Order: sequence, then structure tokens, then C-alpha cells
Amino acid sequence: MPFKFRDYLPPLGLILGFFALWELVARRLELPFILPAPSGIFLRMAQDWPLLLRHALVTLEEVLLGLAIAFLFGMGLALLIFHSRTFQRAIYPLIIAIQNVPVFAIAPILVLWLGYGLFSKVAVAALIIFFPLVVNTVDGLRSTDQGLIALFKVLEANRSQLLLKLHLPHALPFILSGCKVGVTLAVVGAVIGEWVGSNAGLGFLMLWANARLKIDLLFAAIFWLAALSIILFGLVSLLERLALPWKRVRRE
Amino acid sequence: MLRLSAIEKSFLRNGLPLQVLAGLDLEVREGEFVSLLGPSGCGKTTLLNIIAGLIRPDSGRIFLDGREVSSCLGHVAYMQQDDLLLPWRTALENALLGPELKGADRRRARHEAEGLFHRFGLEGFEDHYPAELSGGMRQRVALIRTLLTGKELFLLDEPFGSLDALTRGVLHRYLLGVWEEFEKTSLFVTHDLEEALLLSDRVYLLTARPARVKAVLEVPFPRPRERADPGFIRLERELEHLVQEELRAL
Repeated sequence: MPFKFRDYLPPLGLILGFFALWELVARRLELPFILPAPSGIFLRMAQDWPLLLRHALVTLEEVLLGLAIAFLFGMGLALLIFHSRTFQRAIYPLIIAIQNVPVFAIAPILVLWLGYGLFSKVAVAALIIFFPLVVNTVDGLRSTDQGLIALFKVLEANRSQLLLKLHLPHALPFILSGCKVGVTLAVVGAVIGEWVGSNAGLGFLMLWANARLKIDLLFAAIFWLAALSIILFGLVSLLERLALPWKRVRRE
Repeated sequence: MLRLSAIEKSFLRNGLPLQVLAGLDLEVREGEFVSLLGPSGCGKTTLLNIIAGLIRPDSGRIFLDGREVSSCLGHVAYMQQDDLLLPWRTALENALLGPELKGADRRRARHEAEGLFHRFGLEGFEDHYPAELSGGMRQRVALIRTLLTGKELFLLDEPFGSLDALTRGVLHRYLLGVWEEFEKTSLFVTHDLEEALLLSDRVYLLTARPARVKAVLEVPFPRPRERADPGFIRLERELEHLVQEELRAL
């Protein structure tokens, strides 16, 4: 799809309108400790960018490590589940049970076990995306067309060929959409981890600014967090486009 | 070449056994084009799946070149109504699936495939994805893939069933050309009587479920065949009469 500026006008207009309204209301209210004006927030972002960047990098590291770990373990578990129905029956209730315990409830325990540093946040981020990733991947692997499986059998494909040349390519769109949901969730997970106990990261910065009534800095951190999330989502979307060129073609 | 003796198969449907094939005997000679004609749902596809080794018969034996191959995979090339192209592979990559899975010489297979693309009017479409191709083109790619498996026996399960009449006519010509040049023994399943008569040396007419052989007809006319030929029409009437008889029995 070619880039059309006109397609981006409505959302751009909406955002600008929103900020204009916010600015107006904030100036009228004159309560900078409750609702700072966007202009003030952007000024703060400009002044404190080294601070924001430093904390953003911490959060980014947590998110990326969390993603990598969830991906590695998630893929492994998905393949095991795909391989054995018995294993699936054994493990699925457990996965669903873990997923249904709010991450907020587990996070303090993880911090207790893994400490205030990086690892507890990575664990929270990984835990929160693990479930959608595994379920999506298993769904993808399981939904391969029976006719195609028969075709591979008639062509005497062995087990690894069946997996590598049929099931995995078929599951790839499912895996990537799992990752897409995953990246934004991972940011949430990392911030939760930071709130529970940490000394760095955007989540930590938010609490720190809040406690000192630096509400403009709190908002600045939120903006950075949103930007981080959007950029990561965009990167996975880009990866999706590159990895699945056949999804974009249509008959002329 | 291919000989089936007393093939029987039942499935469980709603907990009750449903007999699909009732002692079916069939023979396809070397280089012969044989059609299997029968009412829908009479078990033709089941029979091909059994020959391909995808499902086991309850009893009966299958011989290929005198060797028993009952429930063995990998002895035949199998082309189905659904083109079964992998959407993430280009047309050429799809065609090369057989040699690739076998670990055959990549360059030679590629060269051969490109020749067939040219011959089947698919030149320039090698790097297109299946989603970009028409139904007829996709079926041609599937035919090339079937050819490149290098097997001597072709099983064709209504491969042109989902195509319009014009496209189907074109693909009949391609198929006959391939059959004559490569001398592939072919077993062709269809429920289209005219298609059976246009293509085959012999037509096996099956009964309604459970399927047995009702009649075997020789089709003596040289190819390409003319629908308007009086002999052709006579044979078509005869076959139609037999089919009607079978449909009434349903």
C-alpha cells in the first residue's frame, strides 16, 4: 500500500484537536499539580530528555529481554503441546490458571525472588505475553489444512520436513500476530514490575515524579511509554510485512 | 501396472458401520488412462486414498508392477480437486515441492520445472504467489508439481471439478499432452461422464454406495476426440443409461 498523506490527516487532526482542547482546559483551570498543560509537558520533555532516555532504555531492555525469553520458552512449549495431545491436556489447565492470576498479584513475589533489579521485570514482562504467544502458536500449528498434510505424506515428507516446510510456515502469521499483541503487553508488564519495586525505568520514574508532585514529569514519562509501545508495535508490524509478502498480494 | 483385488472399506458414521467399498477389483495397465466414474459420495475418493496409502483398507490387496504395496505411502503421484498449493510459496517453489522433499538435484529439477511452466503457458508467472493466479493456472501448477514427483502412476481426483467448462477444456488438452508424452499411467476420478469419455481408454463405472464395479467400457476412439462424433454419442448414451440406472437405485 503506498503511503498517502491524506489517510493520516483524520487521526492527526484528532490528536491535534485533543491537545488543543487539553491546553485550553489546563490553562483555564490553572492546576498544574493535577492537570499540567501539554505545552508544559513538552517543555519538561525537552529539558529532561537525558533523564527520560536513561529510564526509557532500562524499560526497553526489560521489554526486549522479556519478549525474547517468552518467545523462546513459548515456542518450545507450543511445539511440545503440538507434538503431544497428552502433554496438552496436562499443561493447558496450568497455563490458563497462571494466566488468570493477575500479574499484579504475582509481581511482588517475583520481585521478592528475583530482586529489585532487571530480572524481576523481565520475568513479569515475559509472563504476561507468554500465554497469548503459546495459544496463538498452537492454534496456528493445529490449523494446518488436512489436505496439505496428506499431500506431504504422499510425497513422503519426514517429520522434520512436515514441521519446517508445512506447519511452521503455516503458523507464522499466527505467531507474528501473537508477537504484536505481545510487545504492547510486555511494556505493561515491565511497568508493573517497576511499580512493585525498582530503582530505574519509566515506571519507576512515574512513581518518583508523582511523589515529588512533578506531575509534568509524570506525564512526560507516560508519553515516552506510549511512544515506546507504538514504536515496538510498528517494528513488529514491519517485520510481519517483510516476513509474509504473500499476504499482501492480490490477483490483478 | 496397478491391480486392486477385493478392496473393502467401512467407516463408522454416527456409531454405525457404513460400507463404502464392497469388494472392488480394478486393473490399470501400463500407460493406460482409466477413468473411475460413479455417483457422488460413492467412495471414489476413498479408493484413491487407499491406493495412495493414506488410509488402510479393511481387506483386499493392492499390487503395483506385481509388487504388493498395500498401505504404503510414496508410490504414486496424487492430484486433487483442491490445488493444495502452499500460499507462502511462489508458483515455481510449489511445483518443486516433490524434488525438494526428496532431496533431488535442485538445479535439474528447476530446469525441468521451467520447461513445464513454458509448455503450460505459465511463463512469467514463476515468481507469483498462488493468490495472484487464476483457478486454471493454479491447477496447472498443481499438475506440474504432480509431474515432477517422478512417479509412474497418476491418481487424479476430479482435478478440474472446480473449473469452468472453457478452462477445463484447455486443461484436458494439457493433461492428454502430458499423458501421451510422459506415458504416465493414469487413474482419473470424475463424476462427469463426458469428461471420462473424452479422456480415457477405459471407463470403470461404479455402483452407488457401497461401491462395486458395475461396468467397464472400452473407449476405442482416437484422440483428440470429437463430442459430435456419432460413435462417441452412442457410447455416451449407453454410459448415461447405465448411470441413470444406478441413480434410480439410490
